[in-house]
Amino acid sequence: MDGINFGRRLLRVFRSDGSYAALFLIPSVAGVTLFFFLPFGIGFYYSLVDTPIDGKLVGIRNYIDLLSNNSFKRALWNSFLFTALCVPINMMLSLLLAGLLNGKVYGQRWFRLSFISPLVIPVASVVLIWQIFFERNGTLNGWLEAWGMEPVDWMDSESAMFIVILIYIWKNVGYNMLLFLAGLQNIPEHLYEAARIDGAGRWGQWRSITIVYLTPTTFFVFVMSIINSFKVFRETYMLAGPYPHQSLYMLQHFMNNMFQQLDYQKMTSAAFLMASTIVLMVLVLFTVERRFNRWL
Amino acid sequence: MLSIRWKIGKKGIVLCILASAVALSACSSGSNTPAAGSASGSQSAEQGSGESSSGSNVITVSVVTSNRLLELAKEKYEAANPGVTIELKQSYETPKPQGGAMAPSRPVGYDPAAVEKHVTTVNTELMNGNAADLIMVDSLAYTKYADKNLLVDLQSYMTEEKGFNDEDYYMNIFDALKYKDGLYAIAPNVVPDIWFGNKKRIIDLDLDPNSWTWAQFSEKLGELAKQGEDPVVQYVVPEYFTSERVGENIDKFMNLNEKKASFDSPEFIGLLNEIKSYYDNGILQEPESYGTRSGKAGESLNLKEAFVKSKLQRFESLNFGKMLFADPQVFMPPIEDGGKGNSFRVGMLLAMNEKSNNKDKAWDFLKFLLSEEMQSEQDLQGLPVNKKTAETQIRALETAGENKLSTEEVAKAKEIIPQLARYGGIEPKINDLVMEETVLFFKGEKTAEDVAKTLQNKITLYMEE
Repeated sequence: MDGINFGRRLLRVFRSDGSYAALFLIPSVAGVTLFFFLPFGIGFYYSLVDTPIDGKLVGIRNYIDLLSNNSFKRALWNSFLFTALCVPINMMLSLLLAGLLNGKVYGQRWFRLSFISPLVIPVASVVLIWQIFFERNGTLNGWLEAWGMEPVDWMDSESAMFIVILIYIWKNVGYNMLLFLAGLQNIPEHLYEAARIDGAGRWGQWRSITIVYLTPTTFFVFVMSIINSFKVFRETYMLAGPYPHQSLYMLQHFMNNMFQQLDYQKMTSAAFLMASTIVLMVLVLFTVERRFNRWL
Repeated sequence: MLSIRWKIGKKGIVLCILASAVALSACSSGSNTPAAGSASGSQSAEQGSGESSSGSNVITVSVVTSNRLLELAKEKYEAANPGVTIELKQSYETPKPQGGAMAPSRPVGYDPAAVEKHVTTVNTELMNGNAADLIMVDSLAYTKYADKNLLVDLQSYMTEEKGFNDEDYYMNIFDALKYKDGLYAIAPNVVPDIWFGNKKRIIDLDLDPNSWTWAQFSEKLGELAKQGEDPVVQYVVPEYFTSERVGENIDKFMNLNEKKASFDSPEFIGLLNEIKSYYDNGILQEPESYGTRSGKAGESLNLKEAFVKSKLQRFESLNFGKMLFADPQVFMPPIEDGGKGNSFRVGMLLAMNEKSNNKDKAWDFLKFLLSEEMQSEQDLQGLPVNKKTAETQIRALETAGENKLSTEEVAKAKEIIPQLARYGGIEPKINDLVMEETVLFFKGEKTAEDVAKTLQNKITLYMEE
């Protein structure tokens, strides 16, 4: 009797949704483990030894060395500055665009499409255009000279950072706009109606309904913007090479160059520091978001 | 309902198992490939460790592209030591020249594609722990490898017990190659600069062929340039000229031990302006056409230049001046004011892998490259670092019939190697940066100060990394 019961229970466990889910997850979990967690773990191990082959464990010495490395400090500061500058700009601009394209606008579809198109254009081809534009003998300097102004070496002066911010915004504003648009369309229309009946103006409606209901979306956009801001390295590297102007030297430049120079200790400890910072930041943001949602 | 679900389930399970099987097999084959690759790569090492504890009988040498000297050395060494194999691992095979035409030889260094391949190959091999016993490092930032304890300080082998006698070699060459008091790479061949003067044009300039300075170069040759139409010094592009001048005085601009660069110093800005003045004053003039001037063997080309700069790869080339001018004179390269000794480049730099378990045998092969037998080879591609070889060669040239050197040239041959004081090779990355940036100054797009500032920033980033 008991045996039959046990068999039935086992069968039920096997037939439950959870076990099916687990089965279907096996391939991707295996893949992620093998190609992501395992290398990451090995990387972490490298960051704790003195040389990659038969190295001795040295604890956190690599991390201490790293934090006293001038190039790393510069890279850290640049990355921080870049993220701190471009994320707010990007979010405000995409919110503005989403607001404009949410209502009935002439050519709305085409506008939306054109803002999203940077996402699908291969970076390499676009970088070429940027290069031609900002080159020392490029288009922009051509215009400046035509107007009788001194040409500027854009990629090799303090303005370089702003060029990369521009590229980042060009690349990411469409994606964030899309997220905001989805958020805007999820706000129930009747809330606005009720507010109008109660005599709220446009500003009042925007402040008390739109902003409040968009907060979860905003959190998500914020997290994605931060993560994407770290990805701007690809464009920077293609534009300015491994040793750009010192205001453009980011964490990934440091890591990439370390890889080229075989310094696995510095590279892995930098990568691990960067990854943990991002994860920590994302975790904090998600906790805040959960709290906020509960309050809502 | 349940039965339908069960069916889907079965299918699902089958699919799932299939999928995971595919994924797993893909994974396992994926993880196998590098292992297989490394196995074949380190075959030699494994063979050896199986045979004896003192290391394998296969000595591997990782090279950018093979060269005649190493191939000869392999042949002779294998003949002299039966059972030992030298394996030259090429990172890059030079494309075969097409249509019987000679592949264009590169005047400076290797093909960049070959170097890039070499860097990645050596890097991955070093990381896997199966790098070759000896590594050709002249195109690598080997000082950074030395910092990471990946290379052997060869001084521990250059002792009498290991069969190395300081007296036999021009130790000034090895001393100049030291980094942080360690010798991580040695050169079997040394390539100094030599200048051939055209007596007809420089007779009134009162220049000392044994020691003259860049200040004299600028002043006296500037006057010469004012006089006439003929070019004064054979043309090279200014950024290359700069890179050579920086290489000659690299200690002034870079302190590798303290990881400090001083490219923003007045000296460097001064150097840039000075070099620009050579071109502005017409000491170096771009020729209107680069037509190749060829002459019959043994006949002088009768060049009009006052000086032609050359890289000295053999002692007998000291009389090469006869080919250029009717009345030639051999000059040491100019030096800085108050400077001492000239700089040199090398034909190749070899380093020993710290993780090699075959170090003694690898050293034996290195020593063979420095031995009289190899040093006296025609294909050395540089002057010998072995004193006896050099002396024998010079003595032969004093008396030989066809390639006989004049007394004056013999004197030069005798003194050229001992006076070399500095290694003029710059790290490839630094060299690229210097050439890239300074060309903007010579084109007139940037001021010397701006170029100096940019270079200082970029090179500091590189050095401090």
